Order: sequence, then C-alpha cells, then structure tokens
Amino acid sequence: MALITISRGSFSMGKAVAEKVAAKLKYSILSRDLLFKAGDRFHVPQKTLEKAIHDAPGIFERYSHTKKIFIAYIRATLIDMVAGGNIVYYGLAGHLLLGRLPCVLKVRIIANLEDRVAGRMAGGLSEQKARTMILADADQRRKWTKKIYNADPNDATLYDIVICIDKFSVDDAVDFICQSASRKAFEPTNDCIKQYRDLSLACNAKALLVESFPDVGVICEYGNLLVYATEKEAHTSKFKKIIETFQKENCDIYNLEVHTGLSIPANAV
Amino acid sequence: MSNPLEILLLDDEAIVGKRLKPAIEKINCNVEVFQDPQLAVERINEKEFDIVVTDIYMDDMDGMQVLDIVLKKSSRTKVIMITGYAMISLARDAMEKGAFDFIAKPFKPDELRVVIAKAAKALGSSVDLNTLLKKQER
Amino acid sequence: MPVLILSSENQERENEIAQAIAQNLEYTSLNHEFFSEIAHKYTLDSKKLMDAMNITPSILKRMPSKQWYYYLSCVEAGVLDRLLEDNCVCWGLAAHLYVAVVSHVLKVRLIGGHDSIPRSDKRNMTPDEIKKIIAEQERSRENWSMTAYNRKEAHPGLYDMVINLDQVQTDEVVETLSTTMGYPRLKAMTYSINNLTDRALAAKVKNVLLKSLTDVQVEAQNGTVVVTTTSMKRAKSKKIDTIKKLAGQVDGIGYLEVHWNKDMLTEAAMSYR
Repeated sequence: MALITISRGSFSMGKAVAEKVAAKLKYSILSRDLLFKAGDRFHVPQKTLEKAIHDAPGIFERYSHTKKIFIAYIRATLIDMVAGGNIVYYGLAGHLLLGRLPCVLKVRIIANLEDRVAGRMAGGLSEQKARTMILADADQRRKWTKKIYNADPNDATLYDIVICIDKFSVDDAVDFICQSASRKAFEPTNDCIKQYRDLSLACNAKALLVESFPDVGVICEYGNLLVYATEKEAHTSKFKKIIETFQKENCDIYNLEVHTGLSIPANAV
Repeated sequence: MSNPLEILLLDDEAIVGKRLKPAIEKINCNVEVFQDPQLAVERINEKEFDIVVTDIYMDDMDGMQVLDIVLKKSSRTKVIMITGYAMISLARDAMEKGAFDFIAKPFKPDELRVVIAKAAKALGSSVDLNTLLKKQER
Repeated sequence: MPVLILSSENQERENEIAQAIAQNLEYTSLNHEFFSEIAHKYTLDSKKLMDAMNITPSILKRMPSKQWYYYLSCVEAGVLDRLLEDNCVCWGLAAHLYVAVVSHVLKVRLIGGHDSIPRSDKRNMTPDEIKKIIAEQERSRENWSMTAYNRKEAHPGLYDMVINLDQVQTDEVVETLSTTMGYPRLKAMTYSINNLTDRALAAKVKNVLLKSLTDVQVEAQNGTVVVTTTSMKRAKSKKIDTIKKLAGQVDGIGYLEVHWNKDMLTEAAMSYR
C-alpha cells in the first residue's frame, strides 16, 4: 500500500507533478474526489468540507467544533480511500492527515512567489490581484495548519523531500519523487499494513463520535481500541450505543476500552 | 590552420549582428547574419552550420524554438543563446534543451569569442584566440 | 563545473554524504578544513574565526560586531573565490547563506537523521532534556543566520531541495544527489559563471572595506560594483573617498559606484546634544 502525498501552494506546479508521478508509477491519483466521497458518506455539502479543510477556523468555529467534525469525516474517508495503496494524494493536508503512517512518502513542492503570481496572471488576473490571492491563500494554509495541527506548513521536517520547482523542471521533480518512492523505507511491510488498519479503526471511530463528542480522543494499537472521554460523556447512552455498534461492525477490533478522566495522548486521533 | 567555422548569427536587432559579425570573423569564422527568424530557419534547413548564435526573445519565433529546430536538423551543431532578459529558469531550460551555452547581454565580443572557441573545441576544431589577443595588445 | 552546497544540523551525516558524493563525482571538497587556509590568507586568529561562525557578536564573548562581520567577510570572499575554480562539493562553511541563486549551484538541506547530541552525553538525559537542547541549538543557529545574512537557515525556500534523512539511507542520498549533479540544467554556462564571478567580486570588495569600515553593502553586475554606505553628512566625502581608494585595490572591477545614505539616527541624536 505505497502512498505518496504531495503538498503544494497554489500555482506551484504540484498538480502537474502529481499527475506525472501517478502516470509514471501507474498509481491512482486522488484529490477532490475525497471531498465528494466524504460529503456523500457523511451527508455534508462538498463546499462545506472544502472550506473546513482550507480556511482557518473563524472566531465562532473555534467554539462550535465544526472544523473538527468535518476534518474527522475527511480523514476517515481518506484512510478508507487509500486502503488499496499505490495512490498519489495531492489534495490539502495529506502529509498531516496520513502523517503518522509509515511508508508514506511526504513531498512538498515550493515555487518562488513571482513565478506563482505569473501563473495566476495567466488566468487573466491583474498582477496585484494575483499576488493578493496567492498570499491570502498561503496565509489561510498557515493559520489552518497552526490551529488544527499546531504546525507550520513551511516546516521542512513535516516532509520527506521538499523540491523547489522553479529550480528544476517538472520532469526532474517527478524523477526525484519516483526514485524516492522506490526506496526501501517506503516499501509496504506487514507492520505498515497493521498500522494502517489501526489508524483506519481509530479514524472511523472518531468520525462516528465526533459530532456529539467532539473532544474524544481515539487510539488503536494492534487492534486494541482506546477511547478517551470524560466521565460524563462515557455514561451517556448515545456514547455507549455508538461504541457498541462500532465494535460489532468491526471484527478487526481485538479489544475496546474507554478511558475516562485521563489526559488524551498526543498521538490520539 | 583548420577550416573556418560556419556560424549563423540571429538577432532581431540589426546593431547586434553589425557589431558581432566582424568580431567573430577575426577568429577565422564565416558568419551569416539574420534578423528574421523565419529566414534564419530556412537557411538552417539548407545548410549545416557548426555554430548557431541566437537571441531568445524575438517577435515571430523565439530562440528556444530555433534551438529545437537546429538540434533536430543537426545534433552536432552547437547553439549559443544570447538574451537581454536573462533569468535563471530560462537559462536552465535552455541548457536542458541542449544549448551549448547561455550568455546574458550586454557582453563583450571577447566573451562570445571565448565561447565560440570552446564550441570549436567540442566540435574537434580549433580557434586561435591567442593570436587575436596578441594583435589587440599591440 | 557544477557546485553542490550542503547544509545540515547533523554534521556527522552531512560529512559522510558530502565526502561520498565528492568521491563519486571526483569533485573537490571544500569544508571546515578550509578555515585554516582562510585564517592564514587573511592573517586571522583561527580560534576566533571558528567562534565567529558559531556565535553572534557580543562584547562579553570578546567578539565585537565590526570584527565579527570582517571575519565572516573573509570566509565569504575565500569560499566564493574557491567556488569559481572547479567542480566542487562545499559544506560546513555557511555557503548556502551567501551564495545567491546561481544556476550551476545546487543547494541542498539535509534534515533529520538523528540529532547532533553526542551519544555519550545523551545517556544521562531525559527525552525532554534532549528536546530542549535541540530546540536551543536550532534557535541559536537561526539567530546566527539572521544576524549574519538576514536569512533563516532552516527555511526550505533557501534551497533547491530539502531531504529528510529519517527514512533514507546515506547511500541513497548520495546516489540521488550524484545523479542530480549530472542534470544538463545544472551545467555551468557563461551566464551562471558570470553571476558567480560578480558575487565573488562583491565579496572581495566587501572584505577589503570591512577591514576598516562599517555599514557597507556591496553588489556587482557585469564587473560594475555598487557600494552602498551610510554615514553622517559631515563624514560623507571622507567615507566615499576611502571606499574608492580601498575598493580600487581589488582586481576585476570594471566600474565603481558609491551610493551614500544619510545616517538619520546619529544625525538626530547629535542635533539634540
């Protein structure tokens, strides 16, 4: 289940690179389809999901947890969609949504601002408007990443390779990525498949709980599902029902425990 | 002395050809100067040049297209790109497409002569720059 | 004559990778060993030169600002001069901060791998203590690079490529970079050689000026050197004359221009006396 995530700013040639990588490795490509699928599965308009994964939370959203809910939906859908492996995902936040999985090659494509402005202007915008739009977009990404994941998208340590596209050709970038993807570290192993299954269970459990219990944390290790909730949450019949149904429907769960009154571990979903 | 090198020089500004032609002829080269890229391409299709020196930004056809045409016709021809709008990405693209060298304008005729001498060497020929330099010193 | 410049916090792996690439491609190596040559060439104290590469100016550390900038300019001038010579792999000399965008120079940042704390020191540390030390090291490097060149060393935009060593082996990185150096896009051309020559010329002029002056910025294009300086109005002509006299000693200058700006802050402070 080899996976490549390509993160990029607008007009950084990331789409062209992703398409060529997918063609060269004969992988499937995934981007906006994710939002269609997540929208269908959780009955949320695609536009709402797009906004949730693109724009930084506004003042009111910080309290209403809407972003948290939609991101949990998107993440659970993404995990299921990449189950078969051999996928290049170039939609938003792939390196963060799939970040904890091993065997995921996380790539960032960057380009200098002037070339990006020129790219946007080719669509008929004035230079000032193009520049403003690109900077506003980058600012939203920065705020979103900071608020949701407490990270900076410019932090190179989030990625395996960062390629400055204006100093290479698209084909050069494609070569680097394909060469890197073939490295031993990114070959799918049994351990990697197990970790993927664990993450899938945790994300799907979270997606079911998040609407009513936005602050629960879920971890899955070797099929042992640990749900972190407050005493009050855990004793509601709704919580119990969701947990019971989820356990019944997922035979991969070896054991399920609900922890109350404990702080949620940093690696929880 | 080896045979003179056959050089085609293409620049839509007349002054460039006028200034560079005599400078290149001094190092035992035959130079044909063109301002119109279409006419230059017609000539390239008729005759195999050793070296083509071409400007990049021209009205009807740009130097990168000329580079493609020259290399398609003869892979041994060395193409030297000259431009007043040098940018790193353009330079790297030209080298990737197979240009022999890339020079930013303005440049001194000596700089172009040195590059032509390098191209001559790559072609297995030679250009005597030392004699010229000695003459200039006198 | 392509040039590869590597930058990393992880000196052990950086060394290993750089040396292997140099050997692979039969390029010359330019690394910390070059400091002794620089110290000899510019008659500097070797220990102080090494200090200047690691600390920011401080009277307490006996490194005044003027001396610090001069020492850095010696490294810059020495390294740039050497980069003009041959196929080269350069690391450990902060070249990624002062070699501007030149098309035949590939700048690569290596991150991750493991941290730079010696194993023997780590035995007695908790994970939190290790994290704290690493964060402190990163802050100190960022402070140094910002003070010296107004650039954040860790920012990916400074490089052509950033490679995370956490999941790749040394030999894989060596192979990738060795292949990359052969790309036609990185071939040296008259334009890029001239760019680097201009950069080296500007560094030489800056070095000559910083020996006795402060507040000078130097740029060069096609052999034309532009020096921008700041001083009080009454010192204007003296400073310009000194710059012209000193810069005139440097070979390779086609034309020299001095741009002068008024030191508003000092002028204002003086007018209140």
